[in-house]
Amino acid sequence: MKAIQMINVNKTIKGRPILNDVSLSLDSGRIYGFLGRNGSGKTMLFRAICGLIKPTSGKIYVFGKKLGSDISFPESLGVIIENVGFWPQYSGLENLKYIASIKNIIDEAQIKTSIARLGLDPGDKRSYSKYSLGMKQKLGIAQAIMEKPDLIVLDEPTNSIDEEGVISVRHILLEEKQRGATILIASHNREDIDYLSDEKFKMENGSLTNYQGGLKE
Amino acid sequence: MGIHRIRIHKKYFFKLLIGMFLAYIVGGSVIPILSEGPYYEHLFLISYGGIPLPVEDWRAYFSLLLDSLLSQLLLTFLLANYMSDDFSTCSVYIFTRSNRKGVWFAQKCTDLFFLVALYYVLQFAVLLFVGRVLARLTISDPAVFWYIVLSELFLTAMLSFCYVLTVNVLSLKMGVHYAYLSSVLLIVIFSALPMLFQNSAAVKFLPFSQSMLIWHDSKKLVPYRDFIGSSIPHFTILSSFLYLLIMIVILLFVGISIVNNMEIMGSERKD
Repeated sequence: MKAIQMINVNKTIKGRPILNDVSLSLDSGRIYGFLGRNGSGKTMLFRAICGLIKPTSGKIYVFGKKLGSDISFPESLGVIIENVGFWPQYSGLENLKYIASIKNIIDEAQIKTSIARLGLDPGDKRSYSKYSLGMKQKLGIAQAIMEKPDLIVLDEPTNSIDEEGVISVRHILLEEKQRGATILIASHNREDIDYLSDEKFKMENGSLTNYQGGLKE
Repeated sequence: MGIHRIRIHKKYFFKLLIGMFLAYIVGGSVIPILSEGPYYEHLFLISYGGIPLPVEDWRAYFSLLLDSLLSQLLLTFLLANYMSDDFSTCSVYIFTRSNRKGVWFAQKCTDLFFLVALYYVLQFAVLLFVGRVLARLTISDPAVFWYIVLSELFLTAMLSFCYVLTVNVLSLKMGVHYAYLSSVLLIVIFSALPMLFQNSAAVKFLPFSQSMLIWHDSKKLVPYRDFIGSSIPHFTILSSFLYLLIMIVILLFVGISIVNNMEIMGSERKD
């Protein structure tokens, strides 16, 4: 079964085409990289795959289920899209506990393990508002992987993270792939994409093309 | 496996405590005008569920209206951002963990009804305290007392829930500030209309009238009529209960329809 199938997906907002006839077929258990400039449509593509926006036309299937009719959102999904946002008055652990309580499939120890995997201290009592940008980003990634989802969608996952942290995030994503997760990454950082991706795509003006270019291009 | 289900942030419980101060002021302001009895029944009849009819002028009407109006406006203000908080903070994380947006909306509505009911339970508890401390009130007839308290609690809580639901649904479309201002306008208009229609049968069909317990035609309230004024003929508590229930159902359908058609564009807070 394909992890994701998009068939002639279009999205228009206020008369402006955002996604142009996008068709895509992705296998499970692989990492897919998406490159593109700001405003090229990467984030909208991810939103559409996550069920956050409705395509103007076309169909999207996630693990065989049609978005918008069979399911509203992919059933096993971890995601960070653009700005990572949490409740500023609560600690990182409290934020993740609230979010995890929605599905209620993991316990507190597993949440703490996810936070620790990203190099953060699960016992840190500071409120989220006191976190640095890099810590916020790491907490976002911990949130995306904590429930061991089948599909992980990450928009600019290494933004604001230091070099050591970037290496750690890459290792975590490779471990998640080993576990069997399908991972979609959009990044300005071509190095991330080249290092991690089994297959690369390029978004340009809402259109998607297969991309074979490497780091030195 | 799993962790304790967290449905309502602690901050909302703390917010509701503010209402207890208001209840103290409401109780304190009503006690001096209790000429009959004095019993708890009188205090409860006049505090939240009562503007004695007929009312002769606007000034008298608004001064009597103030207790229930302030309480409703405060509650609407305290809970105005309950739904939009999820949206503006981390909608992406929440919705991608929910099966359906409508389920999320239904859960939020349940939470809101619980919070609204809790708000009035706390206020009524303060009223009991105030009555005892400031005027040494006692209960005249326990059956009538509970009839009054429970009827008033249900009618007031259901109308307030309609207001709270309205502001929350509007906030998803137009933001909390505009939604609250629109709702305040709506609440004030709804609350003022009965003054205009008090001599007409139309008063029975106005939303605010449903929460005015003493306007209802009830045998149990007959002994208090000298104190609470006249009732509206054939205006029963059951009909008000059904009226408010229908209003809530309509608001739920409108809310679900709005939420299902909303796209989550990620207006996440940049902290």
